[in-house]
Amino acid sequence: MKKFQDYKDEIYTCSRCGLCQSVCPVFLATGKETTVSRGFFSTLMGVVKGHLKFNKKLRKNIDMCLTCNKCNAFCPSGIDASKIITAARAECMGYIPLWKKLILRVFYSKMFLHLSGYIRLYRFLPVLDFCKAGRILHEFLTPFVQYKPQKPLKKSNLRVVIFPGCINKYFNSSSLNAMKMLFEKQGIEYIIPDFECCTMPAYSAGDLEGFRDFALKNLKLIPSDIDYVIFDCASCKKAFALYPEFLQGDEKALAEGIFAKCKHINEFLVDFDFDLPNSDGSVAYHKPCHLDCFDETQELIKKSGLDLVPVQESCCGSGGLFFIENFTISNSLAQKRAQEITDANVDTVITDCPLCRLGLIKGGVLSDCNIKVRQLTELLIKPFK
Amino acid sequence: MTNTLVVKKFEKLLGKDNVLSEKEDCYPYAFDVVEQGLDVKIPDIVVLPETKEQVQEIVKFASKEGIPIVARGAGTNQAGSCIPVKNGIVMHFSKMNKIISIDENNLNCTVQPGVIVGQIQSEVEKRGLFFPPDPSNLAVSTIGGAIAQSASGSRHFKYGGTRDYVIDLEVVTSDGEIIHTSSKTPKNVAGYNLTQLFVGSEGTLGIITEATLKLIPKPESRRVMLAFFDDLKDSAMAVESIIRHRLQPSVIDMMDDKTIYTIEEFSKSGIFKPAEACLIIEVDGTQASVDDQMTRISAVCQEHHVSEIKVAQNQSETDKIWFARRQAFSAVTRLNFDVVAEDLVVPTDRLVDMVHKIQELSLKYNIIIAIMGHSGDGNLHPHFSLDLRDQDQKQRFELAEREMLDYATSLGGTITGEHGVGTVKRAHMHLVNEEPNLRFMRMIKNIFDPKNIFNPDKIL
Ligand SMILES: Cc1cc2nc3c(=O)[nH]c(=O)nc-3n(C[C@H](O)[C@H](O)[C@H](O)COP(=O)(O)OP(=O)(O)OC[C@H]3O[C@@H](n4cnc5c(N)ncnc54)[C@H](O)[C@@H]3O)c2cc1C
Repeated sequence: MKKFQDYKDEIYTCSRCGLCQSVCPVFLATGKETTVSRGFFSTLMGVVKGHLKFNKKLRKNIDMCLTCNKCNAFCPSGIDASKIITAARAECMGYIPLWKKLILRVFYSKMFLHLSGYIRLYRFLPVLDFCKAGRILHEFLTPFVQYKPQKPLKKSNLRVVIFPGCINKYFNSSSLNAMKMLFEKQGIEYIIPDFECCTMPAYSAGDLEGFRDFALKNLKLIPSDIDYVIFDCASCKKAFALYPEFLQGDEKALAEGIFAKCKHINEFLVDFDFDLPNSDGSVAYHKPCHLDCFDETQELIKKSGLDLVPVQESCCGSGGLFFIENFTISNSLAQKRAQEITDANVDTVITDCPLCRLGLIKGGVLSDCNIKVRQLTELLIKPFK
Repeated sequence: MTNTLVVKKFEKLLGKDNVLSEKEDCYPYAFDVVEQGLDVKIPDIVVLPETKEQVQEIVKFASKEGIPIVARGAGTNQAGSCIPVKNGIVMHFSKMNKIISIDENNLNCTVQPGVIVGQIQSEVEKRGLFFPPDPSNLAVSTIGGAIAQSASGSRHFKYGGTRDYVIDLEVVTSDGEIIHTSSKTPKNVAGYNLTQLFVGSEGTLGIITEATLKLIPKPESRRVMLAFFDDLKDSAMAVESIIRHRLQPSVIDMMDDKTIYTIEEFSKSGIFKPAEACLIIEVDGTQASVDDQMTRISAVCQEHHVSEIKVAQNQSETDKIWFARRQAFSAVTRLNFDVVAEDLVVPTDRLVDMVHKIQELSLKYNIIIAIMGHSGDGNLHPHFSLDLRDQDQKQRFELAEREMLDYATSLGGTITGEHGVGTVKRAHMHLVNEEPNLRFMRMIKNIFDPKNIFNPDKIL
């Protein structure tokens, strides 16, 4: 696991050409040099040079990065901004606000996550129903697909583990229901161990020790004889990709072995050339920043008969805990995104990350655009009757 | 006034969100592209104005108190022009970023200084119009910065640079007055050319708050080709030859082997193959003339032992070529930690000599120099690739640089063609300016900015 100090040279490599300004969603919203990769590198170089010290204010500034890595996608110097910023955050965990400590330390325990499931009781607070926050919650928590056991249409020898992710587990299992039903249709046996959170939010916040602890717990829950581990959330899969970096010896080997079996559901469905009944309607796809199978996803959408309308890539404004901490910026990004999607004139926008889903719903409600937000799995199961 | 009071005053004027004063917030504003080592000058306050009236108020106040103001666009100039060497105020224009009007009948557009050059281009192109100035970083460079730095780019060869497209500027002067340097008409000779005085003034004479730019019709068709050579000098000879044949491509850019390697390394375009040299040639005009010019240029390249010619087959290939070419500066960091771009200009018929000299210096001082540039204009950007933290390398670089500039000047060339003087070429100004020149420049600075508050210690 590389520490902040190990990135000294990489930070110094930034030529300050400033090209990251053209893609950074946060910079486009704030217009400030303090909120774009070049500015972060100047700041972190300042720490290296001894001009600045890690403190509360500096921590707050480097928390203004979504770690979406859009800048890394083309950085001519090839600098991996999100890794460096995460390492810097790890270095100043002592300066995070109390609410964040609470979220990271307490809420990750399953008991609290179970309790947070009671958020659904918001329905009994009648005022919420009428306000925008209520509408966002309602949209976010209402399952679109209800689970019904399915008769297999064919036989398969595959055995898979589903990694459901916290949203599916505790808030809205619609996408999980869809996945289960898709597997049952294809005769695939699946198991769902009682996983912890993938801890990606902890990773983004720089709580790397927490991340490693949870990594091990999760990895040990996966039986060795299964064929694949399936995800419907781009970020959960990204966490598994990162696990090996935080482990050593046998544990590292275990993590690598398991990651070789990890597949996003979209990738899985394309690779195995499943029969899917035709869907219709026009959709846009919102690409989550952690998605590693964009090509396959587009292929799957086209294959399913849906009409894929291209929209420019941009940000939903959620990103880890960013949407809580930088509420106003997050809202403005979400609204802008919702507008772009409305302008594309589609029935539905699809995405593969629950936080993106939240961002898109929020943007839609706040800017009064009527957009439907779904995970692809939910649309794929629909035409099976 | 104490700093806290100034901050309060500005917050009242601009809103809390548009004033930064904590060290952590101001620190990133100490930099542009130029590496500063350990001695960093941090601004005391950063302001992000949204209106010209706010700019006026800040200037009036700073003038009264004698506080320096450094205007900042995208902070991408390569001359150290944005470094707040005397601390003070940095005025960041990212929030004055609106295109005010595009006048299709009169072929001009009026913009705020923080508008991105690339955005102006794409907006006017939607209307069949064209704004040719194209600094390589047009995706981020602001128009205010491009004007103040007199930036140009690859298409300068045919179309000229930013300076040739500015017809009127609105400027806040050092006493807080607003002036218009000309009229919005394409012609106006009623008096001295104040507009051109502000173009390239690097923020040392006044603050630009609005600019009216000339537009021209967009060429019907455009095509890009790559000509690969086994010898850099052959490519330089081909450039001279294209000019002698009275051909007029819009771009003739040159790249050496190291440049080709680094841009392909980061862009993975699959288009740039390893070679000693490559010319990027763009031709535009009517379809028929584009075809004709391409054929004739290819023939000229053949005469100079071109090893391969590749013509971009579609828009996606063209975009890939330009994207890779435009990031060539920072891609050089693939070779070593720092990159320093020179910007010399020589008469085009001395290009071969200059290229030869650069290669010689690279050997003599044992330092990597990646050569690229707008060869059609004799404008070369030798990129030094090194680690400036190493004193020995730094010294060798300084010696090589000095020798390079001396040589360019001796050929009848100059030390900067488009990047500007800023802090980095200040010490070399005398190479291309005799004392009377410098005296007049100092007098001009003194007339416009008697208290020396606008970007002090730059250029002169
Ligand atoms: C990768 C890369 C490629 C480049 N390629 C080219 C190229 O091909 N051709 C070229 O000519 N240059 C090039 N440059 C240099 C740079 O792009 C230009 O100088 C650029 O146009 C500066 O724009 P900016 O918005 O970054 O200005 P800044 O760097 O922010 O400012 C430049 C100067 O303008 C002043 N200024 C800014 N705004 C105002 C204002 N409103 N009023 C008064 N003064 C103001 C500043 O004080 C400063 O002195 C390149 C730079 C990089 C990093």
